[in-house]
Amino acid sequence: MAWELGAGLGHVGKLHLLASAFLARGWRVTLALSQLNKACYFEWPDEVQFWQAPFWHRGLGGAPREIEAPAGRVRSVNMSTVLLETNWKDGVALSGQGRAWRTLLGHLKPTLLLADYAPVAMWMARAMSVPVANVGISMSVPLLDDPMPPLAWWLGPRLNERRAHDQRLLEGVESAARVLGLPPWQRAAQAWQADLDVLCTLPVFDYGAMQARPRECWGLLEQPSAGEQPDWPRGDGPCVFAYLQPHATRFAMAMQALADCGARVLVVAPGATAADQARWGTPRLRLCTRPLDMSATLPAARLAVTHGNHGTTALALAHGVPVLALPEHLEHTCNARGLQQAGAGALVGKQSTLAEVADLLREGLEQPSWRAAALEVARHPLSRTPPSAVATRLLDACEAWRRA
Amino acid sequence: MTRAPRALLAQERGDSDDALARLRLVDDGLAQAGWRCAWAGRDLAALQRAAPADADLWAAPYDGEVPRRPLAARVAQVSHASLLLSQGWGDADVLAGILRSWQHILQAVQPDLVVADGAPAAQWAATLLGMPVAQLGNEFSVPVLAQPLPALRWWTGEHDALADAHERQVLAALHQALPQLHRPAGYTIGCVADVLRAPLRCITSHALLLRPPQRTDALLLGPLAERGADTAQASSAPPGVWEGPAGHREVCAALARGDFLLLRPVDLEQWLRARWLEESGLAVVITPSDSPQAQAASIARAARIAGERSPGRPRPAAPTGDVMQLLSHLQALADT
Repeated sequence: MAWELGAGLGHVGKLHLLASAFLARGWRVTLALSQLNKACYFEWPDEVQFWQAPFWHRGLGGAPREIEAPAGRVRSVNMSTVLLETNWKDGVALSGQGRAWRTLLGHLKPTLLLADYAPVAMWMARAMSVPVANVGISMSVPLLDDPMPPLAWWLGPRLNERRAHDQRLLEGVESAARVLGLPPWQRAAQAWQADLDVLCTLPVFDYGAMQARPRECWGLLEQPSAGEQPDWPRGDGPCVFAYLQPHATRFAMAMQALADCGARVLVVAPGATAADQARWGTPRLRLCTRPLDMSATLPAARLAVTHGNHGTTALALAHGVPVLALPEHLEHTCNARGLQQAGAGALVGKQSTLAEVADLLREGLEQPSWRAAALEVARHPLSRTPPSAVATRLLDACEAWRRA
Repeated sequence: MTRAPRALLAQERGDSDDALARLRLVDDGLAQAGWRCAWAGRDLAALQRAAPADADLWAAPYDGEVPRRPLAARVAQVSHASLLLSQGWGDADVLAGILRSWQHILQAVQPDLVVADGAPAAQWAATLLGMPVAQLGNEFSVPVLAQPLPALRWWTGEHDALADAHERQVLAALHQALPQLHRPAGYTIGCVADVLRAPLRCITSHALLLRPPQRTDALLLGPLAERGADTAQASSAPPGVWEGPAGHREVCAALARGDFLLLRPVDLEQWLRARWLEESGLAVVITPSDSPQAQAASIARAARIAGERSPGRPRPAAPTGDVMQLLSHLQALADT
């Protein structure tokens, strides 16, 4: 199981669920993670091995940011941009990652690669004839087209930019492929080519559906109950659950609005410091750093506040809880548009003021239409499909495929 | 049929071309003696450039949070323990995860020798597996092994409570992580320096960079890959003065030529090196906060000092970094 790109706990949480299912049927499971430290948030059986996933991160140095967008325009035109920003334009960097994946896969000799946002691993696995299942959400199991479809589809087709970014990606791939002794690609969509696509989300978060090209959704593969029990602040008033990143640009604004909203607030902010807790903790607002058992937390919540990250946002809707989203990046915005389109929440714009966030919080707590729309999402059969059933279905598919 | 002896060349820092150049010399030398080397590093682009085309590359395990952490949330770097702390060594679970992953790599490669250049986790992981380890690096990455580990800003001369706290925090994490790792029976840790011990520790720096000047805890090899470095410098430098940042490679080359140094350090390691050279009377340091007038005065001072040095003045003793000497030590280590 491989994870390269993205952040947060959702990727490892997904792999944790899958690992448990595969182990229970006698498979041997090895995980290669870009952020090994994220594994510490979950309990794992002793037989699971963890390896460092080869990947490139800007913090390691290397290529400068070269994908510039005109002022006010979304930088990530399509998934090719996303890969270019993780240094796929640099054939040397890409071939280094490819070589390291090849070394690792050559050593492990897997029967199957389950990839969660791991395009270099997928490429090398395909080259080594290892079957690949691409498991993920709309971002990592993208719509495939030539050129690759727009990510911010609501801003127009941007066809020339998409073609240009695809072309730059193909140039990087060609350069790396030459080093690796592999054939070049014809289309950028080959980055995401898998033997099986497993889109683990609800229809409301299917970017294809948002562009009138719905795809099969498998349901949520998110951890609802891996975490601590909630300890809501005592007293009267509605409960608001928030999942925020302490390093997010609008963390302080969100915390201030939550502190002022009059509700009882439980915030999970992994990585928050003691200083954050001292600054924001009150009898009405509790700030935790460890994940909570969402199946125990969400039923009490009247509103959830997130960045629009898929896991918590989707779980909230599946529990009939509307969401106010403060997106940090494009994926968050895409998810927030989904919930906004469903009427089950709102998106806080980048330029919003504290007063505007406070107004939206009030609306979320008081406006019955948000709650009604969220309950509508919760009634969808996929919202009620337990993650273990999704994992079992995937496992069945993999085993049938292996037998074939 | 006996297999060729294997070495794992490990590097954990993401920004060290010097280290990778040293490791390439080691690889080339060992390859000539019939060895096969695998490489493990964090920056795979740099590894791709440095390693031979047929070498196996491994991604070095590390705390994936580090590059994402904003500056304000990073650990204040006051001692060598702080440097470990900033790499995830303050959290036992994270540290154990990193170490276990290194041990997987080591068990996969089955090396007869591990050469760790700025790779403390690889070094400790290999030590715990009973594999022979050589530590290689410059004067900064091969620290004096003391309890506690040395403070970085020696000139303050003060007891640094923060450095002590970092030492305690790392030691506590080491103790908690240890039971989760493959290790020899009865293995214990008394202090943080214990995990950095290796049967062979080699410093590839110019002797004038050593602080304290006489170090007996490691073998001074002298610059290896640093010899013949491209030492392009600012065109404004006065005659006899080498001007630039205080990168190890450039400074070693300039010292070997006997140049006086006008240094503009840009990172912690360079700051410490520049400070030491200034204290030793071998450099003048310019900081970004210096006014234009102060900078001009520093340049004039450097020019004056360089001019006062007589042309026939003997150059400081320049150790000749000897790859063959290193290779013979490595071979001896592997043989034992």
